[in-house]
Amino acid sequence: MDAEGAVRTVFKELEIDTDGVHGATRLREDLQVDSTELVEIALALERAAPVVIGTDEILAVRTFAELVTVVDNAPRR
Amino acid sequence: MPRADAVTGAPLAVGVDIVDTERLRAMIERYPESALDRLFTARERETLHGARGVRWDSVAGRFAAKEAVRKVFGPCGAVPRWNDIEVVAGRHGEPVLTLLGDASALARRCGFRRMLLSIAHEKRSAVAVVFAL
Repeated sequence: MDAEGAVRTVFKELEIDTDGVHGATRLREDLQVDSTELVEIALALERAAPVVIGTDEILAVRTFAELVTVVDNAPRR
Repeated sequence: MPRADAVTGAPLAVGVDIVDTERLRAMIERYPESALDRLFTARERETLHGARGVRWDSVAGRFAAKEAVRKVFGPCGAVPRWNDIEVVAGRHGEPVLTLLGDASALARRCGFRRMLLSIAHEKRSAVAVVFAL
């Protein structure tokens, strides 16, 4: 699965609405992702894909595209 | 940089956060080891268990405190990791906040000398307020 596919799958698992989501969609402002969900997104991505998502990286994410990039560049387990 | 106190000119900031205890519990129980490691220091993890198992009100209160601390750093342009912020109970049960590693260095760069923390709990939620001086 590619990085964007993994992110979209995790969003669906966490019941985050992905309709109309595009690269510039802001996680906090547009999707109302809060800090608890941000943690869960990182943990769910690590479970869904063989990657390690760093805390610094997930905290710095603002948009959907940035999250996909973090997954794309994440170290493989 | 944080806003300066109008009288003394010293940096001053406040952060507040509220956490849904059940939602945080559900998330941690889905990822028991990795979630706790990511959010809490080893010292905190040692003290999250009581005689009846995990003290979820305490878990939620400490996470709210960490988020409140992170908010006071917002104007500095950087925020610390959750496990660089440590909250443990003091001698009288009061929350004791310690900044570790990069968070400590960041506080110095922001000009913060002290942080005051208060935590309150309700049945399903915890709220924390932090003043940075």
